[in-house]
Amino acid sequence: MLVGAPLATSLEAGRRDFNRRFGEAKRRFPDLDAGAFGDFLATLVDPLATAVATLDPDRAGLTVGAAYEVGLELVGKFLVGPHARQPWVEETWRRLVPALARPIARDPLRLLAALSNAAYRLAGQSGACPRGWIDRMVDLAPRCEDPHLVLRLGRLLAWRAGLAVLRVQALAEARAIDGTLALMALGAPADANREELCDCLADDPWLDPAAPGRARGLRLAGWVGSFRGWGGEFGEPPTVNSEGDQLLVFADDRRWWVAADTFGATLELAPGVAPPAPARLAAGEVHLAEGALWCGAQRVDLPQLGRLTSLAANRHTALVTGAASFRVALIALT
Amino acid sequence: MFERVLQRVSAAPTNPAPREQVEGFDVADLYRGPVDTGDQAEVAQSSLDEKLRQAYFWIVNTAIISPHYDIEFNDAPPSSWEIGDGRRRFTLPSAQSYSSFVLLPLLTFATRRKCLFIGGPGRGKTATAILMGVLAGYPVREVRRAMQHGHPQLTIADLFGNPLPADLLKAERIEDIRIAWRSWLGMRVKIVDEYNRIPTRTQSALLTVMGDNYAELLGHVYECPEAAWFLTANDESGGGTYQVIEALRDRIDVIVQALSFNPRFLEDLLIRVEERVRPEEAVPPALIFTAAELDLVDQQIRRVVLPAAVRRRIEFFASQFELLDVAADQLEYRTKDTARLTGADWRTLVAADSGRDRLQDLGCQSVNGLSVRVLLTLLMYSKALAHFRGHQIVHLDDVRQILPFVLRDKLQPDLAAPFFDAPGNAIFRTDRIGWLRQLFDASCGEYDRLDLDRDDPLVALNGEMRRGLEGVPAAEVRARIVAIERLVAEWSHGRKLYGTLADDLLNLKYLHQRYSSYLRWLESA
Repeated sequence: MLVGAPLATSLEAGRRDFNRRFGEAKRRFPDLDAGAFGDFLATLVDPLATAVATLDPDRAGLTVGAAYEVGLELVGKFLVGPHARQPWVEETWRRLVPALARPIARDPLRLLAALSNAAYRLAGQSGACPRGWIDRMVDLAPRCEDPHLVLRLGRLLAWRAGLAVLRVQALAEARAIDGTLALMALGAPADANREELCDCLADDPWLDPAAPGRARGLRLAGWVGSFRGWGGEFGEPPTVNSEGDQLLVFADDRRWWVAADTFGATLELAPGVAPPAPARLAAGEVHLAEGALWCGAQRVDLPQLGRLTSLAANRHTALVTGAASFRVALIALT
Repeated sequence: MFERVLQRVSAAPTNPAPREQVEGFDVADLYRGPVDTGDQAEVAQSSLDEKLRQAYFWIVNTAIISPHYDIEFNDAPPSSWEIGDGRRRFTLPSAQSYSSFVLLPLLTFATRRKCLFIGGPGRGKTATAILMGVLAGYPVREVRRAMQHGHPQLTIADLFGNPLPADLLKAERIEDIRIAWRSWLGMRVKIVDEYNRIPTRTQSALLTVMGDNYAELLGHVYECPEAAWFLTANDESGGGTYQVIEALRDRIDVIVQALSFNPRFLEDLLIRVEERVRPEEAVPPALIFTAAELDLVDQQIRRVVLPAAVRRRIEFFASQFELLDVAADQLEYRTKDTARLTGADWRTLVAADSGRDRLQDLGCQSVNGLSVRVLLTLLMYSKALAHFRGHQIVHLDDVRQILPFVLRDKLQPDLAAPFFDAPGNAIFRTDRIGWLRQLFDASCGEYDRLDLDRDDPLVALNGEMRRGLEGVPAAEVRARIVAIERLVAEWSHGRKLYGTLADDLLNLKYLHQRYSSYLRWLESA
């Protein structure tokens, strides 16, 4: 295995300790493959070590130690390497980690673990876009020197990558970080007013920060959920309902909280058993009729759902289900 | 070698079930995942229920040999058979189940409540209590020395301490006398062995500490820290060398019986003899809880959610028992407590209480109702059990399993009630746990039969009141008052007065009063 001088020096200096740690990890992860771990060090840790050695030589050893520790878990749990179940953790290490070498050098263990977990989380979230998250993080990495800023930015961009459930927290991060960086992270025009934009986004989940003034209207915004047999959530066609402003999906005696906005939609399983609430075909100003959702005189046709079975709505969003589909239609009302 | 075996704590999770989430997503979850973030405090916070479970399994597997699973949970229909002449059901539960003798003390330890161990001598009552002291971080020697032993000559000074003799001679004012307080008062686990052998006068002093958490001597007060209490007695009925005063008995939160030793596990005892090992001296350090961790566990337990559907069933159950229709004229006083306070003859009153189905009415099975203290204890222990099982909401099963241990000494059966004479029910004269469990099951059955999850008018009425009166116009208030009066009128037609109806009527009276007062204020403004 050929590696650069910084990594080689660090490994040699701590050889006994590193070998001991590998032995302990092997007891925790019996299938930990030495060859796969060697590849991890050579291909993913080496670039980081080289970058940190250039920027902050005093932190190179510590960074290698942290990367080694995190790597043992990643390889041992098949999150990276030839047997990895998804490619995004490895992609994060390949592209994002070297780009964030400076903040990582200041808090290597926390950042490397957090970035790995975030990639894992995004990969596991239906509808989320881990590639988009990595791309935007890489673009903004040169503006991040502080580890805390990296984590804040990560949350904000995870929201943009489809974790709609993070919306409230992400907007708080957008208000807290540098205004220019926040606008770039939101994908907003450079001349936008950050505070006003955040206020609008807080009030209207369907506002697109890239084009806040664009005319919108009643429209089909997307879909959420799918058949369990194809990796989704539902074993039977779901129904929907609401509790106050909270939109819910019911199926298989379970229920999910729905978060949806312009960046995506998420389902979070609520605890316990929940028999379905009585289905409704009207909610507030919207109702179902003739195979469509109606809001006043406007309509959105939903032929994909077959016979429409239930409707839930709040001020901004409506959910619709049908007998012919396991998917839930998301209708933007604003 | 056996010491090392004793100190082994399993690294495997003790309850490998997906963790429930009460709130949809915690922002910290984005960065929590399969890789340890290195934030030890965060990890510690999220795993204290796991630590409690590890403590439980260490105790049952290594320390106290208690291969019992009398607290049964099922996640699928269990296998069961009828055994013996009595055709009593023997069940093999399908989900992780527990021994009450270890679980209840552990929950008491976590919630800092009071647990009474009962059972014959030599069954591990004191040994379990000592283990709880060691789990709190005290050395075994200190736990043993701090243990209070009940005996007929135990004085208040023995319990609390003594004034310094030199001060007694010199002092001109009582405030100048310093007290050498007993060290056990400052401990976070307090053990009182054979509390029913303590003289009555000393019991009163003990009551002050147990009830109000302070000790007083010669005008000086010692404020005790929050502590878990473990008391032992050979007899649960309050008898013994001295009758236990009712107020002291009432302070006990749960009663757990030391179950008999199963001789099939004699080999484990043999190993103890041969290796000369005492488990209380080999508690793994990883299982010791710091004071900060205990505070955190307490917070976590209190945050466990009690869903409305479960709470309503507890309300319905608790409403069954207090009503005694013949005790008074006014509804508020028609209670068993009223009868008890006047010293009226119970049998005479019961004979006069006709018109109810004494077999179906669950309230007829008891001589008293449930106090606020008991209900608070039930809520706390239900949350503690849910937390222990790794849940963030209380399931009905948690309540069902913990209720008999909380109510064991609190809800007294009327053994002359027709229920106990019915075929198959005589066994409940002695089986208090079984009686309480079937009582709760019967109550839940009645709740479902009445379809109260869907058809309970008080839910909507109480919900309206909880949303507040601000901005409610007079016309709306009058309409609500009329609705309440209409409901009372409807209920007054031909309905037998059972406990649940009595409480509902009083609830309506409360709402009626609130609205009437508000209306008067609106009209006077």
